[in-house]
Amino acid sequence: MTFGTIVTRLAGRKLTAACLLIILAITLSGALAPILAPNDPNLVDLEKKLAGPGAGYPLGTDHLGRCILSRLMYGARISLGTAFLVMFLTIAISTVVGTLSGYRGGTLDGLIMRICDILLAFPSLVLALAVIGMLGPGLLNMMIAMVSVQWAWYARMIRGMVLSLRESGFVLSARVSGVSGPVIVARHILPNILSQVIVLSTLDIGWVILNISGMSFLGLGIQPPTPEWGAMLNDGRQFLRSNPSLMAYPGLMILTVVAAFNLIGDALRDALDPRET
Amino acid sequence: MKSKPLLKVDNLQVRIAVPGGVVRVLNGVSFQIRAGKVLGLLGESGCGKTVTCLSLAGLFNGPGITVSGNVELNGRSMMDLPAEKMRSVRGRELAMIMQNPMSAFNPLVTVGRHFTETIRSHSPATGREAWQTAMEYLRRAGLPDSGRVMEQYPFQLSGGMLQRVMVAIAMSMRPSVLLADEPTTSLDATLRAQILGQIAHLLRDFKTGALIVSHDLGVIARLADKVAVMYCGYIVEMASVAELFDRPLHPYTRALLSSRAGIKKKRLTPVGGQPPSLLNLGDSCPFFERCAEVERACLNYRMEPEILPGGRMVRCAGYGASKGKVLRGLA
Repeated sequence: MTFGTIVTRLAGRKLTAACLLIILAITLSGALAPILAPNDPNLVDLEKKLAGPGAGYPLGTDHLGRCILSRLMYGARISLGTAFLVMFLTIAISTVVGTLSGYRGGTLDGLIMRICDILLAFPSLVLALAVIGMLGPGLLNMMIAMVSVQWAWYARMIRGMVLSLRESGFVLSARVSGVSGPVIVARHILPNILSQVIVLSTLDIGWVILNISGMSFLGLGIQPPTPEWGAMLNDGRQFLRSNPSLMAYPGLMILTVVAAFNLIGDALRDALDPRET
Repeated sequence: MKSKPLLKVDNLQVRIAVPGGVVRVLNGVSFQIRAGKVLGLLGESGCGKTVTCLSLAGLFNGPGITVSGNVELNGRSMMDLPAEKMRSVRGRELAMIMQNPMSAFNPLVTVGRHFTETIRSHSPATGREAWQTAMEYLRRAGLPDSGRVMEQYPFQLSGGMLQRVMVAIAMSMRPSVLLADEPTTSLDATLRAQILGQIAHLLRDFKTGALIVSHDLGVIARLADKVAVMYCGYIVEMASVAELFDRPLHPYTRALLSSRAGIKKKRLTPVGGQPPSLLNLGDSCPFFERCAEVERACLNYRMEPEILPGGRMVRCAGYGASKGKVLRGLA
């Protein structure tokens, strides 16, 4: 299966294509925020606070008179950027740990899996809160907390895939030919788990975005005045009755992005499934 | 003059501890393979043929598994070689052809890379040199269009072609001994003959010793010089091909040979009964309950090998002290 057929399969469905476009648009607007944004996201103008949509402020202003659209665009940078970074670190760590555990086996495997069991025994949000509680709030600490909680899930899944591949005919025949362990892992095992890992991480990136926003909403993640969707939700909370749009916009963004990522993940799983031709 | 044996297996025992006892997979397997000679290992499913191969390659290990006895390759004991040494022996001195060519190749890696990976694991050859070697061996294994094959993925080739590739990979390091674990089971009859011919040819050219495992009497008759018949982890009879097919001594060998399909036969005559469970197998003859020639001596027989005049080996009470069957068998 070539990259081209995967893209064709993905884009062939209208819903998936729409999701891809949404993600692309939001990513671009975040990346190009300094050019596209109508205002400085942190420019406070108390004279124009809580203004409705109008000239200069397409979506209106918040309680400090800051441009909501600009803040949403800059927020996309933080939300998406952080989510991708967290996901990447998680995958990197758990691939190393999971492969080591699955391929080596024995005591090391037992030890790593018991650590995973302990981490998996707690609800991940509670555990992440505990880690942030120890380290203190902040963007970096929040990322550390999320990675340190989430790697266990992936390490376990990757270990399972490695275990089943380790017993496959081609790994046995590579071992019989005297190929060394690291080469077998790099050439025969990792490429075979790659597609599954990609799907898993796409499915989960929505979850990561939700968690980042959740933490920021609780005031544990990104600190004001940095624009971030979860933090914006929190800011708008006091004006829920008078100006519901303050919460509606960031909420809508989170909903859209998370839903889009989940739908793409599903579609990607179907597209990469070799049984479906 | 007899050459020195390349591979010497002495009293190889494999035990697997499972809940509820010990499975005795191999019980004192001993044989020797000399340069250019082929030993055929014959037996029904589950008698320990594949385990023999894997434990010779040092790959039959895991929790609860104990392998004992002695394996000597090129005069060096392999039983307590460190893992890295063992790895360098596999593929270079001791190569193996797997049972199912369709699953023995990684679908994401081209044939060429499978090939060069093996070569470069054992020699400092550059990629280009390894590629050249690979092309040459593919041609020798009967794949003339080797340049195209090298760039193809395993699923683009047929089972027969893949088996040829596997033979080529195994032979490319010029191993002293080749282990072929049912090299032709997954191929159809016409291909079988071709591939066997190719293997025989390569073995002769390189003076490679080989252990050919099969439950196919035809394969053994065609390739082997000597045959060992295995039953429940015991080698119950070992003799040259001509002798064994002419005058099988062990009742199991006789039953096995009479179960062959023949042109004049209307129906096949299977060996009656089922082999016993290997779990907590006793010391007595495991063929006792299926044997058509049971006698009183069988009750006290403990599977000691009987060496007969002419060097044939058989594990059967009938050839022990009384020698009753010897006379009948050799008459």
